[in-house]
Amino acid sequence: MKKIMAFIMALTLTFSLAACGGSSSSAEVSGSGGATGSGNLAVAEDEKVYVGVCSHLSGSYSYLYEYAKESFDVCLSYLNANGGIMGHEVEVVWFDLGDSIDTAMNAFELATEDKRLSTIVMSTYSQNCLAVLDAATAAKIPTFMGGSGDAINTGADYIWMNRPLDSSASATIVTYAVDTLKYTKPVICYNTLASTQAGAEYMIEYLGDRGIEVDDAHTFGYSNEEKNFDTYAAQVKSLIDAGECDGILCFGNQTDLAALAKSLDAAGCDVPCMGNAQVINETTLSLAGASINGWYSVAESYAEDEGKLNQEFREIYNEATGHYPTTNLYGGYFLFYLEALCEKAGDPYDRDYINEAIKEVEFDTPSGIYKYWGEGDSNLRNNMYVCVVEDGVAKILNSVEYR
Amino acid sequence: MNFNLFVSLLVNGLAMGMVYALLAMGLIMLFRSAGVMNFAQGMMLAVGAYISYATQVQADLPLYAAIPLCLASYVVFGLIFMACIYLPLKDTKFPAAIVVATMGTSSILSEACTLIWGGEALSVPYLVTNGEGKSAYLTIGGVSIQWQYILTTIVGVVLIFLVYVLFDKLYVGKMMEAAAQDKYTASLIGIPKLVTIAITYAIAISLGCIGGFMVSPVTYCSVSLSSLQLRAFASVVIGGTRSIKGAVIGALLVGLVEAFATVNLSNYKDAVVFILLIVFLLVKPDGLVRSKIGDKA
Repeated sequence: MKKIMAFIMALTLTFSLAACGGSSSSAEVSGSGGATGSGNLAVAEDEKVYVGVCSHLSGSYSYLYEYAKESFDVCLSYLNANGGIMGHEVEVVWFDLGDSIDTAMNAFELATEDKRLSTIVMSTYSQNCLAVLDAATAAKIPTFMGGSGDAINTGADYIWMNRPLDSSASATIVTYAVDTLKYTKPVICYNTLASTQAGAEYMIEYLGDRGIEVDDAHTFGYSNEEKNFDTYAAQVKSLIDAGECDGILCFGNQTDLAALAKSLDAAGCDVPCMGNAQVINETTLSLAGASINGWYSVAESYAEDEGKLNQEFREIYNEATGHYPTTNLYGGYFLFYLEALCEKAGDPYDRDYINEAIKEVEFDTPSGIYKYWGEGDSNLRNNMYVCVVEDGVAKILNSVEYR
Repeated sequence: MNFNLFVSLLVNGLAMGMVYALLAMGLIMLFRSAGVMNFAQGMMLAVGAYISYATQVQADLPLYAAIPLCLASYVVFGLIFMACIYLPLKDTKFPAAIVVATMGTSSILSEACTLIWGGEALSVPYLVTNGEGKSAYLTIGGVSIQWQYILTTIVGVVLIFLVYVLFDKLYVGKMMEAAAQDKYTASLIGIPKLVTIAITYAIAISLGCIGGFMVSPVTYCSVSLSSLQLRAFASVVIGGTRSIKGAVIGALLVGLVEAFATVNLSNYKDAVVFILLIVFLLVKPDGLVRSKIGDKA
């Protein structure tokens, strides 16, 4: 009897252990959600789905937060009014990156310690993204880096990029400048921040591949704190007058591009000018005014796109705010992508399942398709738009798929 | 380098040098009168620029109304600055207290400007424009110079001259000079210390704000204008920490070096300026112009 009881108890214990068994290290995504789960779960007692967004709530970049807040608020309201994510209300938690890398790193650490978060969205400044790369991987929370620097594209797990890389932008710019605008003797002006300098270096490299060598006399780097671009414009004008420049390529950020455009225009530099996506940023267009008319640019998203998806989004936005979205105001669309990821994952709290879902979901956005391109590639984009500025507005010329 | 480029860089360097000179003169004046190195002096550029934006763009006032309103605002702001920073701490036992207070004030002013006008840079109109609202040029013999730089240089020269007249020719200037050299003795002979310090603050802060008014059409109006303060400090060190004349010479030198450094050394422009500063510290630590009055034993 005792032996039978012992045998039954052993059998019971074995079956119990099997039923409660540990999770698989690699999550298998199923439509109904794995019964076991990955173990890497967000914990929200109120059953909301939380998204952490790291932005510049204070400091000199706080205007970026204003754009992001409005965009996320619109998309959040629309999403929650339509059932949220899998029936759960969605909420955004903001973290302030401030003005310095240290503040950014502290803010990101706070985000990783917030157990409620299913995903994290990081600022558009590549320097901040680079600073938190290791922390993001270690935290095992799917993190969408808003920066475009190639150095972010490490292929590390849990790291994703939903903007085209600077190298892709540079390649697109050079291709259009050489093939269409017929540049043969370009001058390059660039911001010496790591990300924008890298973009300029890619342009020089790609121009070299096309047989166009750019020497130091034709490159002008300026610091991010530079205020006065008239000295650069005077030198560019001198090169134009000497027949040593037939086009200008720029890689910078909003304020410096606007100031550079004003200075080049004031100096009478009447050669084609082309720059990175920040050229058609609303801040740049507003500051530069008429001086940036005629500039070419590559754009990551295009507010005036006639595509059906974009038009629907524009109408939703207009209904919510009374105005149509500009290129700065598409950030919140990420929430709809997250909805698709969670539905594929089957669980809006399982971070590993969501991370795996990114590899399987192809999602159409007003800016282009988010798609996984293979092992070692964190970047989800493959297209950009070539635009020209007319009367202070960017007009699309064509859409380019660069892979 | 052709002649046109040379003249453009020269005028640009002189104009920016004038802006640094205005900042540096304010620094020297406050240092000599109150013993305070004002780490918020750079923010005066930004404050001046924002007030200029508020009058010319937001209130849409014509120049003949905006300029006097701005000047009056700068003087009032200078007095408020003194009342908030200097007066509460003037008798403190810790000499660093006022310096630290100026650092904190710089941050407070930066956040206040962001709160009022937002974080984005703002566009301020040029003083002289062509028919399309762009900067107008003066063309002489094929050489084109922006009117904004010409006016900045003229305004700088006028203000330097006025400061010279104040301290060299006017009684009130001599009172301020006396109070700066020896506060105790000056008070014994009846020089009102508080009045002289108030005048000093009003002038010093206004000089910085006027610099912001003149430079903002070129640089845009933003809190990051305060970063030009480093150039002013470099000017003071190069020129001599107690000499206004030296500060002006130092500032012009910094402006010119900065402008010409963009030729072939554009990536390292800032480094060139501060290498110049280090060279002066090593070779001539007293600065270009030594003050006649040394520090008291």
